[in-house]
Amino acid sequence: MAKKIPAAKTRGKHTWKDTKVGCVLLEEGKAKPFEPGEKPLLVPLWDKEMCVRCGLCYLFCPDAAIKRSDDGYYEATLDYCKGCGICHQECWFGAISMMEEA
Amino acid sequence: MDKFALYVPQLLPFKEHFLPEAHRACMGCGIALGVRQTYKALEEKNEWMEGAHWEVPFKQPLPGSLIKGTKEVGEETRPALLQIEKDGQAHLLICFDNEAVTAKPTPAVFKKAFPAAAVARGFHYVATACPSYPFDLIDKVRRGMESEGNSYIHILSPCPVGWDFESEFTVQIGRFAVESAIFPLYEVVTGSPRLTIDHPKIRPVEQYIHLQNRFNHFKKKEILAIQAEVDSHYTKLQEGKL
Ligand code: SF4
Ligand code: SF4
Repeated sequence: MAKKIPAAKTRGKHTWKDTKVGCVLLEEGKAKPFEPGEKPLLVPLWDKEMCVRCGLCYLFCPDAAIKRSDDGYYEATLDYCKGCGICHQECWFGAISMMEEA
Repeated sequence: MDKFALYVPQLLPFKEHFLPEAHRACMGCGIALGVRQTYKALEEKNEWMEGAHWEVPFKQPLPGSLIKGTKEVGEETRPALLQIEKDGQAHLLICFDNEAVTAKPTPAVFKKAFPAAAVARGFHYVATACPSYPFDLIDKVRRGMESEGNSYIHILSPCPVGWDFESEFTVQIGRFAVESAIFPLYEVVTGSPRLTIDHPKIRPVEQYIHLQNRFNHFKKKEILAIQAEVDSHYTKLQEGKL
């Protein structure tokens, strides 16, 4: 015999007026409470021998994902890198290559 | 380029106001890049920037507005302009132009209109900028901030989705737009424009157009017409006329 489906507890209380509007952002900066999504397909990898520590890659990253580490070299925070490849394209010395993450 | 000019990025403040976790831009977004560089320019000048992150007045064109023309865009910005005139304070108005709000992609005609209209309205400082030239952009935003009257800056921000190119070429396409003189970088201080970046050798417009799939429908004749228009606009600018 099939189980009886229990009546929803909120029935009668929850109306369409309580339903949240989808796809509308009413305030700015609302992406902050969420976790960063999946890792990008291709991530930038630095070749420290070719890098001259100029900082161009850092300046051109639209997501502010590239941080300067203490030794002066640059590194991407993979949580926020979207894998766009601008840093790879803009490095004068070809120090960045886009690779699949191991 | 000077050997040491390469290291200039290190002179900028390393602190980020534009936080990566607070925005939802696509990968390789030109607007995000422009906003980030603008924030770098405004930093240390304004205490109100503290904690502002991405939470700034920022109006995004909706997909439905694709069919709108220049006239409608003008009407949308009119309340802001009226407010500015009423306030009596100096304002800095920045337009991030990703060319999404045109009825037909007509690259050369559209962009002259905005800076010219701002000059006609009596803005003290009017400039065009592009995130592919970050130091130029940062200079202009700072100068606009320091000017006594209102200032207007028009920033070209390439859009990988709308213009249909690979996201890694965002910066390069902006550079091509400037090198082909389709989007010349200039500033207007006392009524006459001054080119801030004047390439000795101008690229043909064709190279810029072929990089983007949105212009696939252009025929040779149309490209020649655009080239003629761009050339006449550029020579006018070189002579100091808007
Ligand atoms: S642009 Fe290239 S050389 Fe310059 S810091 Fe980045 S990786 Fe190093
Ligand atoms: S791939 Fe794009 S998002 Fe990732 S670090 Fe490079 S420029 Fe930044």
